[in-house]
Order: sequence, then structure tokens, then C-alpha cells
Amino acid sequence: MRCSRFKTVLARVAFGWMAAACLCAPCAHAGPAPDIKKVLVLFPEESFSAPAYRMIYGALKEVFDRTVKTEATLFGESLDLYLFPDSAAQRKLAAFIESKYARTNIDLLIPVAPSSLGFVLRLRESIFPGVPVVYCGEVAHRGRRLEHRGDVTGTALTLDIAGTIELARQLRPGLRRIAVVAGTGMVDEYMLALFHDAFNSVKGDLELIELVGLPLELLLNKASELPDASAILFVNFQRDGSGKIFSSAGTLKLLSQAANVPIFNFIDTALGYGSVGGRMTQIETMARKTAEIALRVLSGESIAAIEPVVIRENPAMFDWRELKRWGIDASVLPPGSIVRFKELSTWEEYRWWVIGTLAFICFLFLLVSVLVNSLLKRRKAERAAATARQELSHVTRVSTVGGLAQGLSHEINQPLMAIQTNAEAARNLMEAERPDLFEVREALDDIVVNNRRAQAVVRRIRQMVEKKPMVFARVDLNQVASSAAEVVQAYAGQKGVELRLDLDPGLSRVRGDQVQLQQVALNLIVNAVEAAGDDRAAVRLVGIKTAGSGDRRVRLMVADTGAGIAPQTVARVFEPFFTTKPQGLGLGLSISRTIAEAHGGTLGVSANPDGGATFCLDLPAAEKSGRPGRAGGGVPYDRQQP
Amino acid sequence: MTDSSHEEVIIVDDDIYVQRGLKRLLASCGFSTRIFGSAKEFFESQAPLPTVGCLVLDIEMPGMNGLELQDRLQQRKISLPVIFITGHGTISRSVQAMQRGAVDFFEKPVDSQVLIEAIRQALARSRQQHADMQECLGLQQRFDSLSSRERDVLRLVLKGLLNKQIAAQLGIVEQTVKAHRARVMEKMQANSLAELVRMTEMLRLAPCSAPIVPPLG
Repeated sequence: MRCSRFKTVLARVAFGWMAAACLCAPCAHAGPAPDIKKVLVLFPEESFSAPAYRMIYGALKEVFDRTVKTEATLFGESLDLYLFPDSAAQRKLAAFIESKYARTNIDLLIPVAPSSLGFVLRLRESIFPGVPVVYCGEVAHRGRRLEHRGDVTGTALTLDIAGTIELARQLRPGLRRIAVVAGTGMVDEYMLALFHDAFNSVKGDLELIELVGLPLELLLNKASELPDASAILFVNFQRDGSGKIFSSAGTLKLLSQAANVPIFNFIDTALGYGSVGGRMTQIETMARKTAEIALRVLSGESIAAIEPVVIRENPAMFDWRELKRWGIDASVLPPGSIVRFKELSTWEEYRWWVIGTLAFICFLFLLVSVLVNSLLKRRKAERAAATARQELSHVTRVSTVGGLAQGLSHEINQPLMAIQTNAEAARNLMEAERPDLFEVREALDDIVVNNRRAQAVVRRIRQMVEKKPMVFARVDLNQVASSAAEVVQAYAGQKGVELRLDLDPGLSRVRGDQVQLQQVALNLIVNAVEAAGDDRAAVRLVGIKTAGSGDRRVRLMVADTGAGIAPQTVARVFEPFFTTKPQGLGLGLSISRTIAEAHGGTLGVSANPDGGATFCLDLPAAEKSGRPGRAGGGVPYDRQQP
Repeated sequence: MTDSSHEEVIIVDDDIYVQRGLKRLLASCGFSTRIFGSAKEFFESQAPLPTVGCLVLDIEMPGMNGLELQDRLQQRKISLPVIFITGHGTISRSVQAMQRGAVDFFEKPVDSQVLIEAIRQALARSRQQHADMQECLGLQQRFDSLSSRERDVLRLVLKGLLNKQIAAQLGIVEQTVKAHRARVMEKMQANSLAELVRMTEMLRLAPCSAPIVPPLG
């Protein structure tokens, strides 16, 4: 009795979950080109929110669209079988569909869910005579034969209700009761029957609480007051006890909010609406399989050769949020479980962003510290180099002045000699009977003057060899030149070289360090004297000239009448440690050039047309025009008398 | 001080203060001085050099230096003693100067007493040279006053021949030889034969046409 009831219901059964999907048939009136196959998908009811139908339609469309071999267009119709279950209404609907598709040659029918298949098998011959059928969503279970004829085949799935009950037991140790929730609709009842079969096979000591056929409000109340050690098994809910039509997904959601125990179900498309999980159908897989079979049929394969396909997979699937809500640890889930809707923590969700950002920040920090470090090192090295340069420059200066020591000792001995002789003379004069006081006074005057002379020389030497940090100030290049010339004068005298100064009285000042510039001048003049003092030279002359040069630049030129510089060594004279002198350090010119460059200037050398070389120190002027120079132009340098 | 009115210390130094100091010092010690600022000035001077004197030369001077000046003096056979003073002495220079006959070589600033003493000695040497030359010139004069027969007799006397042997050689009587010999002794103002030998020896060694260069010492 019960079994025959099943059979009748089965013919019309549909998944309550499979509420209508997108049914928008693409432009029926226009009609696609004749070589494109036309496929009509028939849904049992109109329920646009039903996730199952959306999924089926989407999967079908995707497979069809992907296939290039066979071009096909999908049409969709909703049969509204649950709203209008009487046969008169169904005939009217069939007539409507017939007239709607009268001029459209449908090539294939895909009825979704058992109820649609029943409708098609009943009315196909009047509407779409001879059009093959590939059904989707039959339910396979023991004792049920799937439809397979010359022009009908399709796909089915299995419901693993028993497995789901087992799963609930596994996840809720100490589970005592199963509360079954089902509506009063046709499909609700069909599936409830399947549940009872399954429950009886696995119940053991489980109690059954039937929450079936209740008005929604009462259902929710009861669900909120279930005893401990219970779990709800949600079957289907299309219509409540008061006859109101519901969507299963919406009911499940409300139930989940109200329930005080976890809910399990077995239709995969309902996962996510409040159930913990269960052994789930694979509706998408089934829909794809359906599409594949449809394509085979469209490409001319014989349906008789295509056996109906049953999707027998019912993997354990869970909603992560519900697992968390009921405190079910992931470790108790059976192996191979699929956990959906896993909410990622901020860390999980943004882990790579966070890691990437942190890495980037670390990288930047590293980069910055490396740069700062290298900058500091560089600063330090620069400071060290500056100090070394200063030291070296000092050493060279001392060495240059040291080279002039003989001349300088003459410079000092001269006034000392005068002091000595005058002092002795004064003493002798005072010893006379009538001392010539006038002469004594003269002698004393000379002593004072010569003392000053000696001091001046010492001061000059000290200034030259003085070791002090570079001080940039306005410097008179004329003074620099004449002061250096004074120091070299005695040395030049020994070498029989005449120094001739030609200083521009209107010379601009330069900005620089007096001592360092003096060193350059000194070095150039000493070199020139040494070149001109060569024994082979007939004329022994060193010209020292200052002049403005071009745009705000000032020049000091030192020319000699020596042998000049050999062309092969010109390029090397500014190299450190290059020297042609037996006692030379070979640093003078190299340091002079460094000093020139530190002052934003240049130091170069050129050959004179009549022999000898001219060194030229070129510096930027600090001002447009300076005060008149100390020495006039063209006057032969003479030892300055104090 | 010996009569120094004809004696002069000649100073050549390019430094006006050194010149003045030296002049003042030497004057205070009773020396008369003449000052030149350079070798050029010295050679261009028209004033005659003193018969007795010495030169105090600075070595480092622009143009001709002290050593070159000394060379030039020797070329001109001027034998005044030379004292060098230098701002910075070097061994090679002092050796060079002494080899050329400088009497002294000092570094500035030279001790005044040492310098004065050196100047005194130089002047004494110059005076001696002068005296030697004067004597030499006198002998030459006396020698020149001898007749040719008297010179013959003198030559043979110096050879150590006896009067008899001289007479035989010259073909004159011994009495005449005696007379010539007495006149030679008188004209040469020699008191003994030994003195006469010394005089002629001096003449032969130092021809009086040129100033006598004294041996170094």
C-alpha cells in the first residue's frame, strides 16, 4: 500500500529545493538560426529563489556554452505544478506551451525533477511529438526503475538520509533524539517517507520526534524547546500545516534561528541556510552530466544506447559557521569532509597582505638602514678623507717650507746679524770717554727694526706651516702671491733667480682658505724657481701674475724660464708621487690641484712659446671687483724693507 | 791700534741693515770702512783700493755672489785678504772659499769679537804683504842700479868663486874685482855676503813686477 503510493507520488515528485531558476527564455519570437539546436528546460515550479534550480540551469548553460561542436540555445518554462496541481490546469498550460513553441522546432526536452518528467511523459506527444527527452534530477533508490526508452534517458541522484543520521550521531556523541522536520506538500511527504525508511534502518536507540505538518509558528516554537541530546533532521518544507506555501531555504533559515539543537540535512544546495551539514547530494555534478548527455543526443547519438546515469556520491559536507555555533570540533569530522563557508579570521583572510606588507616594511626598513648606514659610512669616510687631505696638505706645506729652510735661515740670520753688530757697536760706543750718543741711538733703532724683521719672517713661516682647519673667507690673491713670493725670495736669490711680480690692482677677491691658497702659490713659485734655477738656463726669471679672467674668475699665473715640461710628462705632473726632483715628495702639484678643486677652481699647465712652463690657478671670484692690489704691475720684485 | 789711516775694511753686503751694523761695529773698534751693496757696485767704484785692508764679503747676494767676487779679485791680482760671512754656511761652500784663499769664513750672525779679531789678523797680514812688497821693490831698485860689470861680479860671487878666480874668468885684475865687489855691497846695502845672498834669493823667487801672494796660513 505504502509502496504503491510511493510510485504515484514518484511520478510527479520534484525537489522542493529546486524552485524555479532563471527562466528567461532567450527571445522566443525572434528564433535562432536553423542550424542551432533548441533545447527546452522545464522546471516544475516557479520559485526564483530556489538555489537548486539556479544551479541546474547555470550548470546546463555553462556546459552548452562551452561546447563548440554543437551549438544550442536554452529555453526555459516553469510548469507551476505545485500551485496548479489539477489536470485541467496542466492541460491548459500544455496548450499554452504548444502555441508558444508552435513555430519553434524544439530539438530536445530537459524536464527537471520527477514531477516535470511526469508532465512531459504525459503530454509530450501532443505538444512536442517525437522530441527526445533527457531528464534531470530523478531520485534513485532501492526498488525504483529509472525511465529509459528509445527517446527518453537522463540522470538521477541518491539521497543518503541514513548516512546523514549516522553523521549526526557521530558529531553529537550521546545523541538520543532525532527531530524530523517536514512540511505537508507533495514532495515533503514523499521525502518524509524516504526519511522514515532510512531512520528505521539506522535508528538503534534513537528516539524520533516528529515535527511534521505543523504551522510554521508552532514549528519554530517547538524547535526552540527541544530536549537535550537532540538533533533536527530537516527533510523538506514547501507547505506548512496551515496550507501556506514556503520555500524550503527560507524555512530552514528561520528554523535554524529558532532551534536550540543543531540541524542536519542532505540536499547540498540547502547547505548555508542554517544546517550543520550531512551526506549531501551533488546537484551540480548531476546537471553537468545531464548537459553532456543532452549534447550527445543533439549530436545524433542514439538515446537507446545511453543508459540513465545515477550520481551516487553523497560526501559529508558542513557549514563551518554552524560547526562553530554548536561547538563541533573539525577533528571529529569524517575524513574527506568538505567544509564550506569557512569564515576566515582577519589573519587568515589577509595573511598574505599582512605578510607582504610587513615584508615590504621590513624591506624598506632594511633598505633605509642600509642607505643610512652607507651614508654614515660615506660621511665618515669623507670626514676621514678631508682630515687626511688636510694632514697631507700640511705635511706637504711643511715639506715645501722645509725645502726653503736654507733661504729662510738666511732671512732670519740677516736681521740677527744686524742686531748683533749694532748691539756690540753700541756697547763699544758707550765705553768711549765721551760716547757718541747719537750713534748709539741709531744703533738701537736698527736693533729694534731688525728684531721686527726677524719676527716677521718667523711669523710668515709659522703661518705657512700652521695646522688649522680650513676657513673659508674672502682672500686677496695678490696678497697670497706676494706673501708666497716673500717666503721664496731668499731661496730664489740662492738659485740666482729673479722673481717678477705683476699683480692686477683691481683684482677681485676669492672665497677660500688663505693658508691653502698660499700653499698653492708657494708650491708653484718654488717649482718655478727650481725650474728656472736650472744651471743650463741662460735667463733665470719667474713671473708671477694675477689677473681677472672672463666671467667672474680670477687667475694666478706662475711662469718660469726653465727647460719646460717634457710632453710625455705633462699629463702626469698632477699625479700624486710623480716627481722629477731627487728629493721631491711628488705631492705638491697633486695637492695643489686638490686645493684648487676644493675651491671650485682649476689648476693647469701650459708650455711657454720661448721655453719654460706656465702654471695657471683659476678660481671663481667672490665679488665683481676688489680693492686695489698691494703691488703695481710690472715692477720687479724686491725684498721689502720694513 | 796701528796707524790705520791708510787701512780700510771693505764690506760688500746687499742687506742695508747688515751693512750699517758692521760699519757701526767696526767704527766703534777704530776701523775705517767702505761699504758696497753689491759686487757690481764694488767693481764700478772709481775710488782706488787701499794699500792695506781686507774684504768682508756676504756670499748670498743678488747678481754676482761673494765667491764670484773673490774669483774676479784674483783675476785682477788684487791680494787683499777676504773674510766671508754667510747667512747659512755649507761645508762645500766654506771649503770652496778657503781653497781660493779666504782667510776666514763665518756664519751669520757672527760673534763680533771673533769677527773683529779675524779682521785684525787679516789687516796684519795685509800690512805684512804690503811691507814684503815694499822691501822687494827696494831690492829691485838697488839691483837695477848695478852696472853690467857689477852684475857679472855679483853673479860669480854668488856662485862662490874667489876674487882671483873671478878676475881670471872676466880677464881683469884681482884688484878691480875687489873694487866692483865693494861697490855691489854698497849699492845693495848689504853688510855681509850672507845678507847679499838672501837679497838676491828673494829677488829671484819673487819677481817684484807682481804683488807677492803670501803663503796660506
